[in-house]
Amino acid sequence: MSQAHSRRRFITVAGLALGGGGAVLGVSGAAAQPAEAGVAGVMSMARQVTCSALTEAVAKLRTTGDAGEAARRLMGWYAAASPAERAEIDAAFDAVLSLPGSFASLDTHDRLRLLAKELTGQHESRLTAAIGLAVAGLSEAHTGPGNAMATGRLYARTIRALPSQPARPEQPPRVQPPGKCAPGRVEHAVRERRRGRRRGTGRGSGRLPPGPPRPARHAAGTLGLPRDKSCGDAVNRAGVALLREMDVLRDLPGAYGIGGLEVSMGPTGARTTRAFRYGRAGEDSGRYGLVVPRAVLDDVLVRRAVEAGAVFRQRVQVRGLIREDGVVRGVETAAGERLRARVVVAADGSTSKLARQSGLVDAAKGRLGYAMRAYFTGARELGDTLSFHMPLDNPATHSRLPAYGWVIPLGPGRANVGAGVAEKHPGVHLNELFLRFVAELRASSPWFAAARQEGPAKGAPLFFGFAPGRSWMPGLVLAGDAAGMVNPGTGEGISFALESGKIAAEVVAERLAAGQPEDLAPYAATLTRRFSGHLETGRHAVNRHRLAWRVLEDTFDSDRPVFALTRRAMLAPDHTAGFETTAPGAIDDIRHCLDPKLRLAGDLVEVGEILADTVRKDWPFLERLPGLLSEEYLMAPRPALLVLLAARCGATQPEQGPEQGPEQKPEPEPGQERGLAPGPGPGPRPGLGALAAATDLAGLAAVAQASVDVAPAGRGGRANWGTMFAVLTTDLFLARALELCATQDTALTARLTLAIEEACDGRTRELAAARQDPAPTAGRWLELASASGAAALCAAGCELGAASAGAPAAVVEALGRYGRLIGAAAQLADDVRRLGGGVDRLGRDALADLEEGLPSVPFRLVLEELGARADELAGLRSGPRPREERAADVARLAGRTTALKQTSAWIRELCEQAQETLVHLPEGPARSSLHAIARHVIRNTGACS
Amino acid sequence: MLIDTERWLTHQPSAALMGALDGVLEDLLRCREERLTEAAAHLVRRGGKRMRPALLFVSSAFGPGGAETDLLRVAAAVELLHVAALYHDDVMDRAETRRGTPTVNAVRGDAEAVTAGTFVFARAMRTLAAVDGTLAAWASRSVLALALGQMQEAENTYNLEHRLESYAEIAARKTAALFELSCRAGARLAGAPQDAVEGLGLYGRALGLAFQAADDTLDVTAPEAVLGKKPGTDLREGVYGLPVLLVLHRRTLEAERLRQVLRRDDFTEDDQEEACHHVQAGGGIAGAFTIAQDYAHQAVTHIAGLPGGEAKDSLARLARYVVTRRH
Repeated sequence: MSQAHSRRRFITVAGLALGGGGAVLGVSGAAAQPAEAGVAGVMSMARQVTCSALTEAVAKLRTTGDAGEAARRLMGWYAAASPAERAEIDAAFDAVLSLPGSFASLDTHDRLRLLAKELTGQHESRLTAAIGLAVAGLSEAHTGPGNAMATGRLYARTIRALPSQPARPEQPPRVQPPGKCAPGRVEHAVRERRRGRRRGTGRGSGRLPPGPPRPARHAAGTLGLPRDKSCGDAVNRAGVALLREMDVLRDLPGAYGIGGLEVSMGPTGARTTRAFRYGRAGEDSGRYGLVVPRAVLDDVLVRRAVEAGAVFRQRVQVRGLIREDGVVRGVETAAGERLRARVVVAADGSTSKLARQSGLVDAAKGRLGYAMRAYFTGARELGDTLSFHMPLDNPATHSRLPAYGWVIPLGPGRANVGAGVAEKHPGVHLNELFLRFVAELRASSPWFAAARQEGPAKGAPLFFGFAPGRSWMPGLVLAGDAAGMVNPGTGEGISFALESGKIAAEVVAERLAAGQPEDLAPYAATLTRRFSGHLETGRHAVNRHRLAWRVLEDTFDSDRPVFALTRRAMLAPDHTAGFETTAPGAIDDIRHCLDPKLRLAGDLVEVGEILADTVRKDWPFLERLPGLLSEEYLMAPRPALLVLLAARCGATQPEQGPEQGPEQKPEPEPGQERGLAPGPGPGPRPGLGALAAATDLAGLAAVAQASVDVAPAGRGGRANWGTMFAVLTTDLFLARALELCATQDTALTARLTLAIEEACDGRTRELAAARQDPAPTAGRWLELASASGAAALCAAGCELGAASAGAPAAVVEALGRYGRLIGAAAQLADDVRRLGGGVDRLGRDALADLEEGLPSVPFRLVLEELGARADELAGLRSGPRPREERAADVARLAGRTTALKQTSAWIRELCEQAQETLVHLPEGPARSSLHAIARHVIRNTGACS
Repeated sequence: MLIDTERWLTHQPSAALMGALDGVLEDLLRCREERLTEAAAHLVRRGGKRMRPALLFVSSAFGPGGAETDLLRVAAAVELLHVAALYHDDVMDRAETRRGTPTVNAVRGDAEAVTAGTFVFARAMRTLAAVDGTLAAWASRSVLALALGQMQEAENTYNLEHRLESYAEIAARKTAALFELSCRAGARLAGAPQDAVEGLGLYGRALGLAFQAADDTLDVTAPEAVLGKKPGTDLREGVYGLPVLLVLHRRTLEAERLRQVLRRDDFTEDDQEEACHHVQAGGGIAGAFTIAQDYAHQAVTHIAGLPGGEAKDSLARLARYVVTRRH
């Protein structure tokens, strides 16, 4: 390690923009290692570093979907490890590497668990997963690069081995079991470092490198970087996760925990508000978001960096870059001092001098917005919710601007209030915008009426010109605001800044280790993958953003599925990596239903990757639609899962059991459709993931299509953004689904299109039934619903999966029936959840039912039974009362009827019928899993008798 | 744009196939639910230019020949891909009439119209898959291009800074992709040599771009009786076609005036008229036709190497015809 400390590896230049005194952090190679993650116990340092690097790599994989990249990063890290670290890791991994058989056929989950046990002393799920990736990475090193999918599958198998309830990431320290290797010296150093930090000296390790030309200053209280920066001060969930990873959360005891976000949208004075809660407060308070003044946060971060070995110099004016032969070789200070470094990280803010000097950013062309904020005290009832108000009006013309106002609680009674505008507008002055917003708040919010402004308002520019391809040049990377990494919708930038810093550190460390510090292209590649959809990229960015906001505004009061999903994708600042998901509807986890022998997870990961790829390039923010879905639907009875399960049924030859007479013995299918022959050998065929993804996309298309209004067409007018968006997404998903299928297998294309036709047929009959007089009976509605939407696609999923595996006709048919029944049951279960006072899988509450021209079957029962009293419901659809209260009223009214009980009985009946169809299937893990799913749907909706 | 088949199609075998197309279209759209069949067939029963099937038939003249039933089915399927897009377009645009009759969305509501469009799309793809897997794969890519083009167009609504490159990309995706598919499919089904398939594909693409450029002028120049809506309606709705963009990209007085009109928040009918005037006066229409004619010329060049005859003559005539100024 001493070698690594002997010279400065790279320097970070920060804080130039605000003129309060620049800062330069010189970071040693060792400090560039990924920060410690939450798996710290009393492990050796090498193990901790292993764990955190692996966890990191896995998190990366999970967010970027690029297993190959994760593995490469992992290998880069491994290559950079010290000999001692390497020996330790090698010893641990030898256990895996020495397993019999090749990696390609590795069935490792149990062995990996054992290995994890050796490393940590217990089943720590994140670590288990991480080690899986390590194995995958090593596997790739052995077999050559380029096999990312195989790597991903391996990783996924490991994830499948996780306990169904993931362990909490932070465990109390535990006794280390007898391990293979545990150099006490390193452990000691870690403890010393930790103690040192707790004392706040930052000197614990005693390893601060001599930073030329004079020793760095790192004593507490004299740091020059923290300054009163104009900023929202809010760190979102992703940011908090990063702070936790850096182990600085405990140094922010005064930070105020945030539990949710409220968005008020519409014209000034007539905005509607929606709340997004992130979860319960409690011992995890602050876990979903924190508010901490930048002065405090920056100070803590600088200390942490110094502690990790960085040399910190403050009040340094940097004049510019040192460039030699087109390569950046350091920076020159205003005092004429030349600080040389192999890589410079420009983190000098939205008006970055270095970025402009480098030519990477053209100040004239960059899109600059502005934000202004002030602190207020005496605001009552602030709560723990951030609130955004948009759009703000142009004071001169009263037309709407791409502008927003915010209120961010800093603690009881104290708030950061501000306004921002995403692009320059002639004649618009930020100061006026800010004052008007404050006046609006005073007028509209009684709790704010008496608030007093503390100190002057402070403004700052926002640079939105994120362009990953222009985020680096040889010897230089741009990070955070300097790279234009700001969310144009909300102005949020802290989490992007933290993460880009981290990515920069990792890439630079890896490149230095590889001896190629000049080629920093992986930085751009990682930024692209990581932030597509969250930050606007490319030249269409502004327009895309405008369309997104138009849709958002036009559909703000609507709970039709695709609008509800889009809203959450755009507004919930939820772009967090890692394993904790708090999707409100994530209660339908059927993981425990799936027999581990099926090894489904690899395919599910592949499906997720395909879904993300589907939209990533074309319409980045949609990336989070399937993303959201997959978080919640990952283990729900959705079309893709049924494709995969059915393919496994088809792949197994039936065993003749006593319940299965010879007449039911499936016949080989006489070429029912072209191209349905099973792949080579038994087992799922290649391309199954694409087929499953295609079926899911067709399901998404149906969801989008069902969001088009049932009411007669409106007459020409401008505000048709919602419908337009629903149709555009329908077409995109359909086209992608068919493209995936048609470029793989003609016969399956025919089957999928047939399924889509049938779903359309069913939908048309539903729509026609709504006009019938007398109205159809509830039983008839149930029948209609089973031929449309989710049920139709689940049926298709089962049939497609079975057919693709070459299953006999009887099995295909039985599975089709199963899919239809279970799909209909799952849909009803979702409806019950909503009407019972909860939220469904799309995050919608009971108010959603009031809006539908074609209500859900349970809601029809409610309407019928309420009779004249149903008028009460109509009054709840809108009104001044908060949404949750009105939704609760709908649920209460529904609760007075027998509708939910009746629906539960139906669900039970449908599931039982579904189970009966399974008798035609060969016995095996796939069949038993399908049984378990049916049982789960019954149990999970309280449909037990 | 009104394209009269008789004005360009002199290749008799193709004309004969055109005569048989209606029956095939009608057959293809049958399904269990009568209501859906009716909705799906609503538009094809009103006729239409059928340019895509005609291109497919003419292109099939450059090979030894394919089965007539396959040609008819594929041509009908390609037409249906186009019709499906029109159903969805009409919902998005809230269009009330098309081909002189009320749209499905006007009669039965958006939900049924969208469903009918999706059904037509699925049926077309299934038909293609049944005839030729490769064609289905080609078609799936064209349809994807179409969807992406629509999306890109929506993103650029009210975008005064819309770049011409982006415009061209949209036109290529939205219009040219299906023209190209028609030409390629016809050539492939007839077993035409690979270079003929390629040449015809490029012809179709260039023709599509020419068509779109010329078609864009109609919103500004065609009288209300022809358009079925007031001139400049697209301008009011923020859909800026080639003539508008050409003017906006110039640093002229007209460009500045046009920009000012288009920026008005409460865009009146007078504004609409004024904007059309600026587009004309700024040279937008003339410019768009120059570009359209250039594409048409390119189209003809792409088929220069193909054997001569009525088929080739028809294609060349069509290229000239779509860029003829009529208003």
